[in-house]
Amino acid sequence: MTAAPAAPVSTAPVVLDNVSKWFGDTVALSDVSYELFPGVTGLLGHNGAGKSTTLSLMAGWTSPSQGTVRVLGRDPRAEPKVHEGLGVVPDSEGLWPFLTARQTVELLASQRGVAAAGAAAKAALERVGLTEAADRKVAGFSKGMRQRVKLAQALAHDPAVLLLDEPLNGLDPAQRRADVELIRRLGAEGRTVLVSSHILTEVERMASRLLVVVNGRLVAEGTAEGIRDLMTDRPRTVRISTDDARRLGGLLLADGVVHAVELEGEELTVETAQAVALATRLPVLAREAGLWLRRVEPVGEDLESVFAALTSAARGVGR
Amino acid sequence: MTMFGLALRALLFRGRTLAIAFLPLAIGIVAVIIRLAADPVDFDSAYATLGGNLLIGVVLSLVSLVIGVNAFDDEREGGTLPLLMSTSTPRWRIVGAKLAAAWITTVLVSLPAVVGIGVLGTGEELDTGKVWSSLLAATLLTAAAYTALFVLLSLVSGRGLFIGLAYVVIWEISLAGPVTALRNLSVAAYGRRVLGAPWAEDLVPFNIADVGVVVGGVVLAVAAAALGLLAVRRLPRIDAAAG
Repeated sequence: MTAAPAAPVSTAPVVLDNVSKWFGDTVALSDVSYELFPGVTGLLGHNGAGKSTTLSLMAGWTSPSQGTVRVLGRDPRAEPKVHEGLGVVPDSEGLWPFLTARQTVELLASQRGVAAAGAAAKAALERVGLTEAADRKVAGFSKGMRQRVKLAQALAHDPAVLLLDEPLNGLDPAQRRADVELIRRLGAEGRTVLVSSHILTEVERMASRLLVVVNGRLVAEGTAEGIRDLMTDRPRTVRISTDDARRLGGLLLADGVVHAVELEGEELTVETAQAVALATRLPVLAREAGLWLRRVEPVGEDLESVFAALTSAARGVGR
Repeated sequence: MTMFGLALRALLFRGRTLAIAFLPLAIGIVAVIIRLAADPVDFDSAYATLGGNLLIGVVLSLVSLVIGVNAFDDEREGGTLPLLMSTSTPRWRIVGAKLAAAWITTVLVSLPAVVGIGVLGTGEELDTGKVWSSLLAATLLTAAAYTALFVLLSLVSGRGLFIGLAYVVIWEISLAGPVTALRNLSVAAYGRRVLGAPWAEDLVPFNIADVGVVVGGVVLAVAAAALGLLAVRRLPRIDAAAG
């Protein structure tokens, strides 16, 4: 008799396997499985979609109702030692108001096994641009400064995995730019970074890979471009500039590849539910009619609109 | 700064701690005034009332409640619990630091009442050494048991303060103290047993648990240790992200 082959063990720094989390009758996360690898991954979702629950599970703050979570090969709920290699920026604004920024970062670094916690705190505060305010009590800090203290404490012990829950909240535009750059660098250094946000344009600038969570379900996963590709069949709007917009609009309607046409001078805006068919038929129809196509461009192809479509498609799923 | 230093600082300078500190301060002042102004024949009943009934039965239970429950409630309400639970520190050390800080804070806050009542107690015919040693032992042991109970309560329920207040008022003050059959189930009754050491057992002027002085002290110490262990087991199971 031969033993059944063992299931392959994932080498990914963070693994969620069939994870669900419910609170009473409310399902916060439903049967989610994925792996995080080095680099920055964006976790997208509207408020209440399940982003913070996902990060809480990874940080070991709460238990999955079903499934398993592994961070650096450990169960983060049962093995606090995992925090020596894991840095977390919680969503809450909480910091001990009677401590200075330096005391806060130093305390938490020492509680994560850092021997030279003072030096580590100094370096982390410098990295987030808080050197000058390091010895002020955090009680007087703005939201943005608090956010930076939280980021510094997550970095001070030089973790391999970083979980950042809405890390850009409360930052002014200059700070946002600086932190986007910092997070990109952290990913480029080989760390596994998960950044949750509902602001897609920012996540796009930081993350090479995206996870989209809607109503507790993982509805899309991949690169920003890949997620757009998932949406080929959603209704799309295309703006076409040609020398006879009225005639081309009639041809497209007659062909059936568009269901609405709007004329504006030499420009034509069409709506279609068959983007691939439009892309194929448009040049054919234009050539047969002897028309020039000066410009063809999709409208609303930013990730925000893709996300809105995914959200809309998944509405009613889960909760 | 250590975990204990953080816990002690968080508890000592809280508004709620300062507010509850007025209770033992007022009782301490009343005790000293009685010592200075009253007829010495009244000291016996005054010591019994202030020490046995107010200090052990009311002050220590309420001060321990406010401080013990705050040990983790403050972290939860202030949003710092996730940070605390994002450390690799063994959870028993976090609970141990919180328990020790809550116990020391409770004793420090209760000190004016303890000192005032001690001064009052030395005015009667009791042995001065026994008055002070029994008073300090009763305070330390009763505070330890109550503190452990309320720290555990804060880890079990988000409404620890209300549940604890109901426990103190309904059980400790109204039922278990006055009703003889329930006395051996009351923390305060064991505390009063230790406080009553200077008197012969049948002459103790307040309600006590039906055990010897040493057993009374051991029961409080064991209760504190057992409740502390339950708190250690409970901390890893709480939802640290819940507000």
